[in-house]
Amino acid sequence: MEIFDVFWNALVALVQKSGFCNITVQQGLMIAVSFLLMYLAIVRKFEPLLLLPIAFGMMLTNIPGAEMFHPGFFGISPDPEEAAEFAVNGVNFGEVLHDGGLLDILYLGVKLQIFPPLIFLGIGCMTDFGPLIANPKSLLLGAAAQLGIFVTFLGACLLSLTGITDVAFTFKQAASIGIIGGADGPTAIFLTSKLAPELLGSIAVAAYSYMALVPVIQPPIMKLLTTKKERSVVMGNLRPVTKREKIIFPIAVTIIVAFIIPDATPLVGMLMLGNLFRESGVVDRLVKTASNELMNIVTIMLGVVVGATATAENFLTLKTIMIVALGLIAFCIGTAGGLLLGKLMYKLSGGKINPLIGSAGVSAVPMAARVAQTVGAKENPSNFLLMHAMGPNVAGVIGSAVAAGVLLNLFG
Amino acid sequence: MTDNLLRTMAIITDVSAADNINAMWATVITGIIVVFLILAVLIGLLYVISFFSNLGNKKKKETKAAAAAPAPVPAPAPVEVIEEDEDDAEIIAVISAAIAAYTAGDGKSYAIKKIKRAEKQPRSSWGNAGVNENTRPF
Repeated sequence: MEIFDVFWNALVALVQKSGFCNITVQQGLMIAVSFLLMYLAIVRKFEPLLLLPIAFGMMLTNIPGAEMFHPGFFGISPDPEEAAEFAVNGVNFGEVLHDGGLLDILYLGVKLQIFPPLIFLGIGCMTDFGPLIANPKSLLLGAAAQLGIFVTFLGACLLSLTGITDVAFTFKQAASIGIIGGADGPTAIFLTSKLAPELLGSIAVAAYSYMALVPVIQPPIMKLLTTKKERSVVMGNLRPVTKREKIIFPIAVTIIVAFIIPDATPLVGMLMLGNLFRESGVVDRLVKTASNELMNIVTIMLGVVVGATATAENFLTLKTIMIVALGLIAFCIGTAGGLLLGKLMYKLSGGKINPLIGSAGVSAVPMAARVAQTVGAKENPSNFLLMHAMGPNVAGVIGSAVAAGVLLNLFG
Repeated sequence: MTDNLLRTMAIITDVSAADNINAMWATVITGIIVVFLILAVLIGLLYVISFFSNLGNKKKKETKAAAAAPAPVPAPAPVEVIEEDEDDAEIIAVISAAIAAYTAGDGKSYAIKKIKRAEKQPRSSWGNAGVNENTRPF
C-alpha cells in the first residue's frame, strides 16, 4: 500500500506540475494563435521560411512551466518591477548565460543586432542590382514607397493623442510600428529590437504576414490609382550593365550611406558586402555559404526567438490589434506612394514609364516585383515589367534600411 | 538653425508622443526628406559610375575599331537576286496544310485569299511561356 501511495503522490505531483493544470486562458489563446500561424505557413504558404519558426517559437514560449524564454532578462516583461530593475541595470549578460535557456541565449543574437545584418548579407548575395544600376531613377520610386513608414509613424503618434492609455505608443514604439511599411522583415526586427523590444513579436508577425499578403493587398490599390492605359505601357529594354559598374556599386553605396547615416551601416554594409561577394566573382564559396547555409541557420534562430518574444502578456493586448491595423495602413500607403510617384514619372517621361513598377518600391523582394509583372501582364499579356520592377524593388531594400537608420538616429 | 534642429532632436529623443506634436511632424518631414535626399545622391552616384565605366569601354571600342580598319576591298561581283516567291510557295503550302488539318472535321471548304505576316510581337511565344512560368504562383 505504501508503494501505491508513493506512486500516487508522484503521479499527483506530476499532474500538478504539468502544463495542463497550469495553463492560463491567455496562454491557451496564444497557443491557438501559433496554430493559426502554422496553418498559414504550411497550408497557405505565407512566408513559411520565417512564419513557421516564428509560430513554433510562439508556441514554445507560451507552454506553462517550460521556462524557455525569460522576457525579464531583456526588459520586455510587462511586469513593472522587472521593468524598473531592468531600467537601472540593463541586460545582465552573466545571468542570461548562467540561468537562461536556449531561447534566452539565442535572443542575444537579436538583442545585440547580429541576426538581421547576417540575413542582409545573404540577401545581398542573392540580389542582382543590375536593373537598378541600369535605371537609376528607380531609386526615387524606392524612396517614395517609404512614405508608408512615416505616415504610419504619424498615425501611431496620433493614436497616443487620443488619450486612451491602452493604445498610447511612445515615439520609439511608433517608429517601430511605422517600419512595418518598409515591408522588410530583417529591417523591422533590427529597428524594433533596439527601440521597442516589447513589441517585437507583434511587429514581426504583422510584418511577415503582410509581406506574404502582398499579392492580395497590392493589386486593388494598383488598379485604383492607375488607368488601363498607364498599366498597358510597354517599357523599353534596360541597357546592359558592365561588371565594373556592378562591383563599384556596393562599395560606393556603403561609403555614401554609412557616411551620411552611420546608424544604417550594419544593414546597408552587410547587404552590400554580400553583393560585392556575388559580383566580384572570386569568392564563390563565400557566396554559397552566405546565401544558403548561413542564411538558413540564422533564419531558424531569428524566427524562433522572435516568436518567443510573443508571450501572452506582451501579445494579447489592444496594442497588438492596433499594430496589425497600422501595419496594413503602412503597406497600403507605401504602395500608393510608389504608384503616385510612378504616375508622375509616367507624365514627365511622356508615357514611357509604367507606373505599376512604383508599387514594387516597398521591399518584399521579389514578391512585389512579381505582382507588378502580373498586374501589367493582365492588361497586356506580352508586357514584361519584371526586370523594370526589380529596380524599385531592390531600391526599396536600400530605402527601408536608410529609413530605419534615420529613425535610429532620431530615437536610438 | 543648427541649434534649433539639435534642440528638436533632443525633444524627440526624450519626450513621449503626446507631449510634443511639433516633434512628431519634425520626425516625419525630416525622415521623408532625408530618405529622398540620400537616394537622390545615390542616383547621381550611379550616373557618375556609369559615365566613367562607359568612358573606359568607349576608349576600348575606338581602339579596336582603329585596329580593325578595313583594307580596300575589290568591287563585288554582281549577285544573282533570288526571287522570294520560291520560298513563299513552300510556306503557303505549309500554312494551307495546317489550316486544312485544323478544319478537316467541320465539312466546309475554305479558300485562302491572303496570307499576311502578323505584326512583330515584343516577345516570342517561348518568351511569353517563360514569363508565365516565372510568375504563375502570383
